[in-house]
Amino acid sequence: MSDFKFLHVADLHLGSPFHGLALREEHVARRFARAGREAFTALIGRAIEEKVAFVVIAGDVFDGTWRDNTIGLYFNRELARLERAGIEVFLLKGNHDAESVVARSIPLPASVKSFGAEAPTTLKIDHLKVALHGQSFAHRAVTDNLAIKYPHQVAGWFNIGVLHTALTGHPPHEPYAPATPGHLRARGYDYWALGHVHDFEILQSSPYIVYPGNLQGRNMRERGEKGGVLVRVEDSKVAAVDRIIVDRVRWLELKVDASAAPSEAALLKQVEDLGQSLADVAAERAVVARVVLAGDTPLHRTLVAHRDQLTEAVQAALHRLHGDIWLERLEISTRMPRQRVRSDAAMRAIDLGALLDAVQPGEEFAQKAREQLSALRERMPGTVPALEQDLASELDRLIAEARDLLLTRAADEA
Amino acid sequence: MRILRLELLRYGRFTDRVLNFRQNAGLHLVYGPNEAGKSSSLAAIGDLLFGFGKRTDFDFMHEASTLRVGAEIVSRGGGETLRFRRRRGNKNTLLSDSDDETPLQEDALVPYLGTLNREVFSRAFGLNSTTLREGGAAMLESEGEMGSALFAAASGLTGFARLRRNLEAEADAIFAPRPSKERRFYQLLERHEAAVAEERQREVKSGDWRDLSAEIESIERQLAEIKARRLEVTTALGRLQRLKVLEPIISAVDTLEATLKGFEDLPEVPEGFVAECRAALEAAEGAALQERMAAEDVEVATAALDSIVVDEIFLQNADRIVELFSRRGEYLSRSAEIPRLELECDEVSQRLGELAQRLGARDADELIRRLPPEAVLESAPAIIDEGVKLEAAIVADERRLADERGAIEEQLASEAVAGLADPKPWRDRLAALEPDLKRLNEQSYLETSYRGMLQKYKEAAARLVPQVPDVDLLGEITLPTKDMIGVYKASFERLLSDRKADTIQLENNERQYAEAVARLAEAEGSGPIAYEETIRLLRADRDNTFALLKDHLLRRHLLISEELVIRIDQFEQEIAEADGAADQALDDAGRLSQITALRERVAELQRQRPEIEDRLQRIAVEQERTIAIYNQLFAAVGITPAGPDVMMNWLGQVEDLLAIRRDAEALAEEIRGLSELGEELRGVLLHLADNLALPGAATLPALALARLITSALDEMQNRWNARQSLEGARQATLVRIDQLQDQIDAARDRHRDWRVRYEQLLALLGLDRNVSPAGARSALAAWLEVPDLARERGVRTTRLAALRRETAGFADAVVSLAREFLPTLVELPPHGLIDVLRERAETARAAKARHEDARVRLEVAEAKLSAARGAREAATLALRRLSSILPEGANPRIEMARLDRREALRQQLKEKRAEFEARAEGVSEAAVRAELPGFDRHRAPLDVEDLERQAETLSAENNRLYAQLGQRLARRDELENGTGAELAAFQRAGIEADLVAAGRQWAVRKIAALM
Repeated sequence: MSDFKFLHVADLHLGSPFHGLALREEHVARRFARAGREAFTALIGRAIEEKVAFVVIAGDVFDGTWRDNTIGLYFNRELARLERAGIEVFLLKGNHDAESVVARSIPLPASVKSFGAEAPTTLKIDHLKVALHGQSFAHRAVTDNLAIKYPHQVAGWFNIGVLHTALTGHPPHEPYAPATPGHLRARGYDYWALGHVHDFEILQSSPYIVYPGNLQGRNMRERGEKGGVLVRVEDSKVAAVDRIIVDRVRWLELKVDASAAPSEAALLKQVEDLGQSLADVAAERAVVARVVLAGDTPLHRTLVAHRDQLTEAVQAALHRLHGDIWLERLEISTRMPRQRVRSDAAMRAIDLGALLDAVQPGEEFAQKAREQLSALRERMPGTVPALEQDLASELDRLIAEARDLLLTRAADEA
Repeated sequence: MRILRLELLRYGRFTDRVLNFRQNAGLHLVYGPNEAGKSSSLAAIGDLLFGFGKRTDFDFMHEASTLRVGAEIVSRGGGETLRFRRRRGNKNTLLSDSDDETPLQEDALVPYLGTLNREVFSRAFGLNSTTLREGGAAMLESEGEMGSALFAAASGLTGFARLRRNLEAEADAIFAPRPSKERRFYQLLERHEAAVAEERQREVKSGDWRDLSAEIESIERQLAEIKARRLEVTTALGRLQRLKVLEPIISAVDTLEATLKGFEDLPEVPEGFVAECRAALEAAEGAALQERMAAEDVEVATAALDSIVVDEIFLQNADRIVELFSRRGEYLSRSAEIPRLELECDEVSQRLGELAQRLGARDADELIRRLPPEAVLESAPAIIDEGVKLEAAIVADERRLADERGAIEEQLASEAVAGLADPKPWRDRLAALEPDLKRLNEQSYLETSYRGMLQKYKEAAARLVPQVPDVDLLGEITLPTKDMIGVYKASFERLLSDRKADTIQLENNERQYAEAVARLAEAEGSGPIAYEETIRLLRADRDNTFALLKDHLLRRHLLISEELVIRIDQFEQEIAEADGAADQALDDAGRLSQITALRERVAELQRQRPEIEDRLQRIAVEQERTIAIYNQLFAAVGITPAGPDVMMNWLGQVEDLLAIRRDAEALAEEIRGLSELGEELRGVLLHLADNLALPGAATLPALALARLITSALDEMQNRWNARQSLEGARQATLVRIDQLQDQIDAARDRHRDWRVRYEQLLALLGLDRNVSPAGARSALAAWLEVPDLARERGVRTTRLAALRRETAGFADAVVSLAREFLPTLVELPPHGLIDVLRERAETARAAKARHEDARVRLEVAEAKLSAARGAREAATLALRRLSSILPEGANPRIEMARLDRREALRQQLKEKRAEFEARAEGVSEAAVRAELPGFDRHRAPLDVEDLERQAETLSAENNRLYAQLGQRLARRDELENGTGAELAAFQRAGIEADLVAAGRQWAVRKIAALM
């Protein structure tokens, strides 16, 4: 039996836009809009370079609601490159593909073999003695356990199970095609090429059960390195599972402990110092960063009240580190220290916070605030992510922030 | 943190102003009049701790960039101190407190200030009158909302209500339920809609792409068909065009081949045969011509040679004749020189004769024999000159001696100025007085100052309030101190305030008493008091009436209707009476207790009154007593004092007055001293003036006297100086007279020596010893001419002899030669004779040369003739050999013309074939000939035109389809490679992020405004 390599990818979500990132510059936006495609092009390039025997795509090539066929043409063109290089593609449709109009309308090259949706299909590569078992999603929400109906392994062959599944549940991913690792092991395959969960994970190594993660992060939940996995098979055994990182834009979070910073300027300096790690990443690819300020600090109120200016200052600091680091959001999770820093009697007399604490708003006030917020909720477009549609869900935080704003403004006015 | 020291180095109106603050003081008070700089100092502390703002109001004196505030501060525990400075600028504004001002870390103050910032500082510690006023205004503005007012007051805030309004306004600018293009949220919403529309528009539907692919295929098919059609047309067109070109060439070829058939009888000749033949013919003819011409040349040359005759005798002697002829010029020039030389010889001899006569010799030869030696002649002029110069010098010196003697007599005559003295001792004495005179000079200034001060003293005394009878007495009396007056001031104020308090108390007592009495009268004056019995009777009447009504209602005893009405009225009236009595009883109880209380109050107020009056009396007594003691303090001065404040001021004025008086007295003392000094000086100066015999000195004061003496001394000095210089001049003249006398004596000695040498010289020159130097000089000049003249006479005589010898030699040689060849011409002068001889020799030489030339030409002509004959024979032979190839009996010239014609035709044929080759584009001649039968030369242009039209149509169609295909392919490429709706979607998502952020911003401000 010959040795070979194959590429396992899933959750390409080609064409689906980034969320939560407002960029003013047209050329940067253009680059970011192309990131998904460029990642996929790079992946195909690596496949050809590595001379892989075949490519397995474990579902969700397209985003379900995406209707622009351009992306389908692009996908077809990239697969044609594989065909020209003599590399076969085994394609399984995931929940998104099942509802995608693009997936239905674009013809694919002859070298692409698809798994059926009615029942599990076994596709074979005779000269390598490789059998691939899989079942595509017939519609968006498949809640049946597909894995248990997969055939037993072809004896003496290298068996690969291809499945789009949430297994026993991976929130916030929908619990489609549920199964347990035990169900998978029971098939006796050598490698399970899974899709659906967007984080890279090797659940087991005997047999290998692998989520390659998605191809390109599209929001702050999809942080860190993204790409596919390159599987080396030697003597009918998996010899190595290596990640191939191809994302063009990296989503990262930068946590900054503000408690030690004596001033805003010092805090910015700290952001800049810690941000060096981002700059290293940005040397290779664009970076989208969420900066989280945490810890107890007397600066808390100033930070909250000056959120807009501070956001701009942090973005500027990140740009000083590298021109390709873009601030997604500045999250201010700091708190006022419990112990008053000011011990002076004169200072206590002018502590506004203590005065405001005396008139702390109760449930009646919260209700009044919720009424105001509902007016905003009505005007929010439906395409805004559901979690961010209604601000009333973070009312406590808003009230705390409003209080800080009021105090700081009062101080500023004086 | 505490400030130990504040240094206003350059700030506002301050320069290097330092304020020190004691470290353990409880409170520091910095005070000063308006515009002293209190607010500036406060602002300086703010700028010091928190840095200068962008603008500053404190750079009116120092340039903004040089402003500096420094300080020394100590931390709260007192552990650490820091000395530093602050400058105005953007960075490195904290500096060390040293001359080099090295920058400190920007956070160097953090350990001292903690979280204190400028706002809190100015709110809590930096209050000035403006911020206080603003605080008051803010409390008024909160319109009675106690919470806001307290909050604003407690926090030192200004404008809390305004703050809430601002937040509300900010929120409103972002979002409100009512849409408005002014609001950021709606602006974003509009952009969002546009992005959504853009996304829709950019989406490519699956049908679009399929249709496009089908279209492309159809166009490609049509293009293939057109391509085939164009190929056909192009082929046909090519054939026609080829034939059109090739057909005339082929017919030309055919014609040429037919013409060549007429030359078939001609033999094939080797290459270049015709040219060779023609050359042989021409060579034979040319050689014959050359032969004839050469024969003629030989004849001419022979005749020329025979005609030339050569004179052999002259030819053989030509060299001798020519050599002699070459000396002809020399002979002529020497012959001409002889007469001139003879004349010159005569002139020299005559001159020598003259000189001999002058110097006493018989003739020239004796003169030359007597010529003195050359050394004598050379030294003679010097000896003569020496004598002349010596005599002249003696005469000059004697004249100068006479002049000097005259001068000394004049000087002795003018030495009449006698009795002069040196003024130095007097000057020294006056100089010793100089410092005292200078001091004396100041006296008048001091007197002016003294008068001014007296005036000031009088004015100050006049300003004193209260006025003092005798001001001069003030210095001798002991006046009360300010502290003492202060004690009295406190007593007066205490008494006044006690009295005021008691007066108010008394007034209150009177007013309250009057009020209480009035209220008591009022209470006692009201209606009767209700009693318990009356109430009981009234209630019994009411109850009786109710019993009747009750029986009626319970139907125990019915009343008739009239009575019932009466009873009900009665019952109502009885209820009212009973209740009224009860109420009055209740009211009376309150009134009673009030009356009691009022009576007690009146008694109390009556009791208090005498106490207060007593206290007031006591205060009045104490006041009088205190005033009396206070007045006593100033009794010695003779004034009645005003209030303590006025008297404190008065004391200050008196102190000033006394100070002025002290100063004036000191001045008067100094002036007195100077007056005494003046008298002393005058005595000394008068003595000096007597010594100098100055008239009118006795009446002058010291300073004028000093000036008079100075001017007299100056004049004396001038005269003394003049006499000194005259004496010097006389001494110099005497010295010069002695020197001149010595010079004259020496010159006379030298003249005697010279006379001896002079007389020796005269003897040598053959002159009398009495001859004067001028005469000697003239004789010497004559002697000097003699040697040159003698030399010239010798030279000329020798030369003349040589010339006569040489000319005779030449004449002899010519005559002897002439006798040999031309004896008839011997009589001619030698130079004419040699001319004839030479001419004959030259003629003979020319004839010999011509003869030689003719002989050479004859030899050349004979050689040419021989060569021409050889050439003619060779050409004839060659021609005969070539003609053998041609047919027997043929005319070589005609045959050669035909051969040329055949060659030309063959060349033409070759060219035509080459042209065919070039234009046939590879098609063979046979193939073209095969196509020719169907070709109609006249129809061809029409056919070509037709085919070209077809090709054009096809080409246009082809282009149109290609353009279409290009468009479709570009569109497909665009679809395949374009980003489609991705960018629009990305931007849409970006706007959504902005929307959420704006919403959040709005929510925070809205909630804050609600608080």
